[in-house]
Amino acid sequence: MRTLVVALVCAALLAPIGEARAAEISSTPIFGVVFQFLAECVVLNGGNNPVSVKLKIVGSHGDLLEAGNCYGSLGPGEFCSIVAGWQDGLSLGDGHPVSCVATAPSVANLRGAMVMHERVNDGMGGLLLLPMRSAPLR
Amino acid sequence: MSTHAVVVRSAVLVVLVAIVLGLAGLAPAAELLSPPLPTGVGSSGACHVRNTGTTPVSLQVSIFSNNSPVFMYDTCYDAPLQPGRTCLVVVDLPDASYAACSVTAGNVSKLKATLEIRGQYPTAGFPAGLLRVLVAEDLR
Repeated sequence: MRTLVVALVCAALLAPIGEARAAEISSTPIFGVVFQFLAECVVLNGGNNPVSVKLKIVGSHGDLLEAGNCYGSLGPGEFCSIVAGWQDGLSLGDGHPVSCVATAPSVANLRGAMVMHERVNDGMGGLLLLPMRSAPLR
Repeated sequence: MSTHAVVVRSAVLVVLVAIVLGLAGLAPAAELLSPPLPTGVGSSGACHVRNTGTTPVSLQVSIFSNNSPVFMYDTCYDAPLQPGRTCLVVVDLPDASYAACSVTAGNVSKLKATLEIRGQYPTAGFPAGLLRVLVAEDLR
């Protein structure tokens, strides 16, 4: 009986600790071949409490392309994003897939997406960024 | 029954109740929420919800943004969503913003939903004024 009590108490104590541990959600790598111009990682806090979130966009070699921390805290219902873009005459990520990773104490109420944008003519002599594909963070 | 046995049984009962209440706290809330998506320029958002269950479901669907979207129409609000049917909410989205869709119901386990961002694709050969789906994500 005492063993059972100890086991149950341990289970009750450990369950919340498991919930409080830092967690991570990430996207699959997405790729827009030569049309990929800018990658945007956006998260939404769907919970009722502020949460500290760290974001990073990484290339296919694990190279860090961009990082951010949502100004330290993301309030309930708030959005936050980081972008990585075209550089040095090469398409984003040197023409390779890119992924997004979000880290927070709890990701249960966090939703996120990695979105690849292409650049198209707007028909009036200007340029326009259009989202061309997306992948959820899970 | 000895005092010791009573104390132990009470302790077991308290711990079991705590565990049951803890598990209840982990039960999924009656809400589905999409990942956020960028709105671009001149886009609209559409949230489709399908009831895959066998009973009607009363639900509320909301497309929200960090800037105010403009409501267009909502076919989910009028009556409970019948089994096998799909309803739709559409809004005009603000430029250069983010949007997400939420679905709230008593039970969302049989609901499947998707948020679409629709926009014009201003290239030669694509008919002016027509919208196409640029990106879409499922609610969970």
